[in-house]
Formats: sequence, structure tokens, C-alpha cells
Amino acid sequence: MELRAENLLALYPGAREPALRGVDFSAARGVNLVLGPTGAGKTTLLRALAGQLPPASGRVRLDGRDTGARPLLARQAVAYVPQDIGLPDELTLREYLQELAALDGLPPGACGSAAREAAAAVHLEAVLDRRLRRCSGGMRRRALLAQALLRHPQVLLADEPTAGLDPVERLAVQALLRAMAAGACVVLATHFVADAAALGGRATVLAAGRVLAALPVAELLASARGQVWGVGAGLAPSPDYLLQPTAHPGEQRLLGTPPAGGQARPLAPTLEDAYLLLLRRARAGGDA
Amino acid sequence: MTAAAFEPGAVLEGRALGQRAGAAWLLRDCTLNLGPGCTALLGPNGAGKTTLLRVLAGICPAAGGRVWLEGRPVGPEELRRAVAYVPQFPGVHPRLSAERHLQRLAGWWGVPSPAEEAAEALERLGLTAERGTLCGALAAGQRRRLAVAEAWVRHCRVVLFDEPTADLDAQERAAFWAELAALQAERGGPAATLVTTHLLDEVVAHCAGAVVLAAGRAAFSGGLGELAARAAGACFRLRPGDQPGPPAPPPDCAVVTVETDGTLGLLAGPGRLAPPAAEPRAPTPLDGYLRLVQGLQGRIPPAGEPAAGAGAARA
Repeated sequence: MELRAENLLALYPGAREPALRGVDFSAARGVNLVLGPTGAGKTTLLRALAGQLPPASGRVRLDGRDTGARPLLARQAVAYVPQDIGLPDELTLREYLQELAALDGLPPGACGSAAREAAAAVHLEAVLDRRLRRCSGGMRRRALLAQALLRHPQVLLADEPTAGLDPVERLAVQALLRAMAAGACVVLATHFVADAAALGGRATVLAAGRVLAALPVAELLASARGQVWGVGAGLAPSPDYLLQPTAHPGEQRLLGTPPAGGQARPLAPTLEDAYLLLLRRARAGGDA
Repeated sequence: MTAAAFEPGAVLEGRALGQRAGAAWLLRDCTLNLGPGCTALLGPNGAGKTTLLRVLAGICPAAGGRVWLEGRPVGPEELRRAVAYVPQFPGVHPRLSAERHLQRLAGWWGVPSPAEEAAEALERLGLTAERGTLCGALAAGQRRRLAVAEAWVRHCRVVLFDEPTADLDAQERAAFWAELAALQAERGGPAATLVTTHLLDEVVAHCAGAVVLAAGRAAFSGGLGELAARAAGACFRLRPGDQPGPPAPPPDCAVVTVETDGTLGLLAGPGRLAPPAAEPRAPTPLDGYLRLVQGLQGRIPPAGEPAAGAGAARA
């Protein structure tokens, strides 16, 4: 299963700037991350991939077939988990999942078991008869994932599925996505770089509607080697580096090139360091 | 450099705090202390974090227990002056400019020269260019900076932030922490801050101590090293074997980290120790947190269990 987008251009009505300006994207079985600052176009890309936002130009292909020309193809193979939690609060989780299973065309006799199976996959079987209004934020996120699983999608597009989750819920959602990625193409938009570090796979970094980089997460991490340093307080700001405070008042983290002759000791980079350095390099390149 | 020790000389203390809504206890017998510098407030959703912040800020008086500020018991009235509470979505009037908002706020709190304080706060937080921008038109990162400015104009001893970074991206988050560090280093800045967050990475990077709230009680209040130690003996590592793909984690274990080479960082479930054959690893504050919360609620699903719907996905 391969999902590919070519030269996507997306423009919201009334907006001055396009939200996507010629984005090429490809995703295969496994974890495919879409990273980028707020407003970079992550949600727009996912909506375009899901067939929910017809692009102004460009194509989305699923195993080579154009989904724009065959909307049913996208509808059947691709499941989309939006960021906004718009759930019918008055229904129970079971009613919600059964109704969607019926809308998906499952025979009436199969809807009950499909709902149970999907709820079990996200560890919500114990609250099947709870009204969605009474479910916690983490449960509601998982309910949204459960509805996406009803159809056994070949492609799962999830927009910020861990936003607002506590650490236990976050690990549970990460484990679920990892398990799904073993058999399906999982595309995950997130601004939590920690999720990317936990899930690995390939990353596409967007900024201002363009693709900044597309590379394996391990390579992104490796790109920060030798660029993260521990330094004392009192360094002046410089275009050569970014300074970050630490929990210790006398110590800072320096991302970039430390001043010559100063005391700097190398630190192990995190994926977040690598990501910040990448955005910084891109900005510096754009200014030049 | 070793981790900064969590100071027992607390700036703000809560002793046996209680709060309820009708018959239900939201906080019960909750005891914690904030040392100088930044402390993280952790806990599952629904644990009572926002309620605790509101009690500590004197916004809703405690139904039981007492709050102590720098060694003496204080009532809600005094807490409201000395402690600033910054909600996740601060109630700013969308049609006031950032500067007018700060001036009005400073005036409300009886700050001697509101106009000067507002101008200085805007400058300190790099918002001078946005002084005339309407609050409703500020970007998320700018609005968060305005919230820090609010705390600055009031010169509070303690500032409590409710999920300040939840809706920020990595760059905005880094900027928030840099501003908070600058604010704390300032003379007249807050002596202690408490920050609610779900991101343990930023806790490790920026906080000296943590309070873990679960089911209305402080399950932990202390330094990060001490928090990590709660998972001592339960943390281990599983390297990928000869088969392709990540190794299968043993039952009753949570996958906490996955390294790029496929090595799993695992945490043994409650009441269990790492299997004898496993390679031990040093516990982190995240492990300590998970162990505490697991023990209290047993909510974490075993990672080894394949997700039924996912396993059935037809590739």
C-alpha cells in the first residue's frame, strides 16, 4: 500500500496565502510522520490526503490510482482521525461505533461485533456503555481512533492524536499506532516531537506550506550530532546558535556552533534539538 | 553537574488540602510543597490539577487544610495577591490591545504605576511590537507570552501555570521556557513557579522538582531524582533479536521508549520486578511517574497485546 501526493496546492477561501504550495508526499506501510510548526499546513495535508479537501491542483494517488477521480476508493481504504473532537455526546460509545459501522455498510448483524472489536483495540471495552459526554479527554481521543479502525483501513491518517493526553494515555496511543503500523500505512501529524522519537519511521517536515525535509527519523536525529552543547550562563545571543535554559540556573543548552575558546561540553542531541536546528537552518537559508 | 537538589525550604506549601463538589471530593488530604525555581505538576487527566491550582491561588478557598506561604499560614485573600494563576486559556478581552489589557490588570491589582509596569512587561517579553495588537488577534505563542507578562506586572511571589505549553509547537515551547527562566532570574520575579504539563521531556529539561497528583491526592512531592527512584528495579531494556522487527515485550510490561535501532525501554507492571535475564537500565522521571500512577490506577494497557483491529488491518 502506497499513498502518494504530487505537487499539492491548497487554498482556503478568503485566504491570501495558499496553505500548501506544491507539496510532494509519499507514505508506505509503517509510521509516516508529518512534523512542522503551527500553521505549517499539517492538517491541510492530511485533509487533502483523506479526500476531504479537494486540492486546487495536484494529485493524491493510492497505489498509483488517482483518488480524486475515484472518491469511493479513498473512502474505503483511508480512515481519517481529525484533531477536533466532535463526538455525539449523547450517545454511548457502543451506539456511536455501531452507527458508524452501519453507515460504513456492514450488515446489521455484524455491527455489534465490529464495535466491540474496535473498542477492544483501543482498550475501551470496559466503557462501551458509557455516554461519550462522560468519557475523559483521553478516552474520547481513543474513541476517535476506534471509529477509524472499524473499516480495517489500509491507510490511517491521524491528526495530533496525542494532544491533551496524559503520559499514560500517550503511551497507550503510541503503542496502538505502533501496532497498527505493522500492517497498515499510518500517517501521523504532530507537533510533539517526543511522539516522533517514540514511533520512529519516516518524517516529512513542513514549514509555511512547503516540504522542508523528508527523511528517516534516525537520520533527522543524526543530523544534530556535534551541535548540542552544555555551556555556562552569560553567553551573548548570536546568529550562530540558539540558547535554551535548563533546570540549573548556571547552565544552558546551546544548539549550533559554540563560540571558539569557550567552555562547552558536548551533549547527546534529542530529536527535538534536531528538529529545532532544521527549522533554524531553513530560516537562515530563506533569509540569505 | 548533578541534578539541582529540591529545596525543603518551601516557598509555598499545601497541607492536607481538601476541596469538593457536592458529595464528591476533588482534592483530599493533599500535601505538597514548592521549593524555589520551577516545579512540575503532573497527573492523569481528571486528577484534580486545575482544582489544586485554584486552591493554591486562593481563587476557591480550600474546604479543608491550609496553604502556607514562606513559612506562615495564609488565607485566600492574601494568596490572591501573592500567587498568580495563569489558566490554560487566559480570559483576555479580544477587543482590548495587549497593552491596555496589562494596564487594566495592573490597575485592578493596585500596582502603583500600571502604565510603566505594562510597558516594561511588554518589553521584557518581546511583545513591544504587539502592544497595539488586539488580544483576540495574537497567535497562541504570543498569547502565552502575554500570560507571562500578566504575572510579571503583578510581581507575584508564586506563579501557577495551567498547561501553558499544551497547544504550542516546539519553537514556541522553547521560547516559553526561556522567558520563564528569565522571569525567575529577575529581581522581583517569582520565587517559585508551578507548571502543569503532560510532557515529561520538558519537565526533565526545565524543572527541579515535581508534584504528582492522582485521584485528588499528592502521590508524590519532591525532586526529579527521587521521582525516578520510584521505578528503581523495574526498568529494563530489550535489544532486537535475530528476527526482523522489534522484539516482543514480555507480558505485564509497558513500552516506555523505542530507540531507533528497535531497542525497547520497558517498565515492569505494578508489583513486578524486571525479569532476571533482562538488561537493567537507569530509571527516568517518566518511569517513576508511570510506576506511581500505575500503582494507583492500573490503567496502562500491556504493550505486548496486539491491538485486535490493527492486527486485522489488511495490507
